[in-house]
Amino acid sequence: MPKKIRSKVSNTVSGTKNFFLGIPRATRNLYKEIPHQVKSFKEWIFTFRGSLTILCLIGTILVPLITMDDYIMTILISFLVFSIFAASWDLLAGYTGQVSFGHSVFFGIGAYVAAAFVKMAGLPWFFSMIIGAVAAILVGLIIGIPCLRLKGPYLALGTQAFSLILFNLFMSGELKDILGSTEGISALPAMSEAHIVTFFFILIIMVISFIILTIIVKSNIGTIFKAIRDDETAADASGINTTKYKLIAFMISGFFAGIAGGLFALNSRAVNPSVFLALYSFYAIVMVALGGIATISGSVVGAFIYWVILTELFKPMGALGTIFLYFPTLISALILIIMIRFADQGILKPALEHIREFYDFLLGR
Amino acid sequence: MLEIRKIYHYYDKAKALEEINLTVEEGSLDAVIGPNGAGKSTLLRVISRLEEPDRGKVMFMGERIDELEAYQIARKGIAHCPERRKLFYDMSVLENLEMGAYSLKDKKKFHELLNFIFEIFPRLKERKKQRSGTLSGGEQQMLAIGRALMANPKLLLMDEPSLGLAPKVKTKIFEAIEKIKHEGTTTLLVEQDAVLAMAVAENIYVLEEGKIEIRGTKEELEREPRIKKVYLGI
Ligand SMILES: Nc1ncnc2c1ncn2[C@@H]1O[C@H](COP(=O)(O)OP(=O)(O)O)[C@@H](O)[C@H]1O
Ligand SMILES: [Mg+2]
Repeated sequence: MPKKIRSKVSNTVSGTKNFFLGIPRATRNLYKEIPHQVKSFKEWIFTFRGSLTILCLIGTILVPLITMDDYIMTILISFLVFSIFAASWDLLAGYTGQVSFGHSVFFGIGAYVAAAFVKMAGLPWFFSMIIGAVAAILVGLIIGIPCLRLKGPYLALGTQAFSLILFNLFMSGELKDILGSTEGISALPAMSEAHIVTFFFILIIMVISFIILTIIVKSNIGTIFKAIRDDETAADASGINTTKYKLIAFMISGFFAGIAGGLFALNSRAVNPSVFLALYSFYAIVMVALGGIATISGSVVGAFIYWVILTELFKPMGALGTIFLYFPTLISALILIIMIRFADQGILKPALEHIREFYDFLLGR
Repeated sequence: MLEIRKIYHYYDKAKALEEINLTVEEGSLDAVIGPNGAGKSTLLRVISRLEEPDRGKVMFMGERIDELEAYQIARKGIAHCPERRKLFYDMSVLENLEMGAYSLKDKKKFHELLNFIFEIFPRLKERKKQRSGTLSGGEQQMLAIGRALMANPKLLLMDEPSLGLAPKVKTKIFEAIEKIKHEGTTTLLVEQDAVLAMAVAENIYVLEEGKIEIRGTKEELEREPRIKKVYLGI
């Protein structure tokens, strides 16, 4: 083996070995930071992004009190589920700098495993979903280890390759008995007769996920993630075991993407191989881009814009021809391109800067 | 304290370092000078294991370290202040310094070091909360040095601290380097600007095309005709 490659492999392996030697210091001390976090949460609520997020949430809670229309509920649930998914991508890409284009893998595994446990083992949704998310962590490790030495576009391609592999694996006719082939797993039982129970269950999980993710990125470990993103060499030279922390980021991100996948299965009561499609990874990227990268809470705003505003705006035009149903995706793709070209800080940041000033003005700041 | 024995390094097939032997004694400040592309940065990167040497040994406090990983070397007490600063640009000045102290366990020492850094670089204290990407070049260099010092290193490796700075700022940085030396931190400095380097260093190595061509104390080198002509311009 050429020297450079050999050393890379051995680095990764020993980094992984050290990883299992104990929970890292930064993770162990997470709970000590809670009082501080509560304080910064109170401050956050009154920031622009904070109130926008809370507004989106309150709006979502109020809707079922007004109408229980299935269609509207489905839209809102999509928004909730995909906001978790987007936030999990933001943790990995926005905070740690590991841009994954294969995030649908975690989503898909979470969805499939949760569905399988509900259907085959008859476990309650909540536990199946957790098992699904744990499976996504394991997949995060499996993908993380070989992808760790890849950087930038190569990492994006590497992760994308995994989603292609899984898509084809789950599609394959030979494995129909195990993986269900194109039909996937369907006719899953509902969580409850009342639609509203499912809705609030998903809402609560979403809120908890965001609280945990925010605590993580605001804590010591979040600073380490950012250091790796800003300059991996310098992080290494500061004594940070970057291999270990990148793996941790992959696993945390995988967990929450898996949760989102499980909730997705719960909502649609069926899964099929399309959950592995690159389209889902793309959703995550677009939503984060819309809401602002490296913010976590921006994912709520981004998901709201995508699922509630954009998708609904163009739905009536679907009657004119199915091509219009692709409009939200097309428009997001356009937005993404424009954004990458002109505004790497996210489209909301510059565009809403003025509204923010007005908002600060209203609060007398 | 640091002993480098017969180090060779290649980038693919291009030789960057050839049979490098070098010793840094505890408490001393030594410098490696040489033109652009001589292999100075490579030498430091090999010591802190950001680059794996092809042959040879690196010994630190009697222990072989060339087989460790970068973060382990950092934890042994070698801080690398890299070329072109390489800060955490999206983080504040203070956060950068905190990251520098990542492997430092002692809270009291942390504040001591922070005070020392703010004493030698008052600018950083004023800009504690500022995002490091928005600092001026000189301030960024100060922060890079400060971040390396926050690890409370036994050995400090500094790569071209004067690079791209105005003469006035260079002087400031080198005054700080003198103060660091007075504190007793062993330092290996790499510098293109021979005049500046020779003003602070005790032992000097001249690196040219990957080889150490001349070595000696400051006084010895000041007498070398070739050094005078090429590096000092006298
Ligand atoms: N990452 C790299 N890949 C290939 N060649 C490199 C790399 N880094 C440096 N080199 C080459 O190695 C030689 C020494 O470079 P360097 O150590 O940066 O010199 P210096 O710091 O003295 O300017 C140069 O010829 C340079 O082009
Ligand atoms: Mg150099």
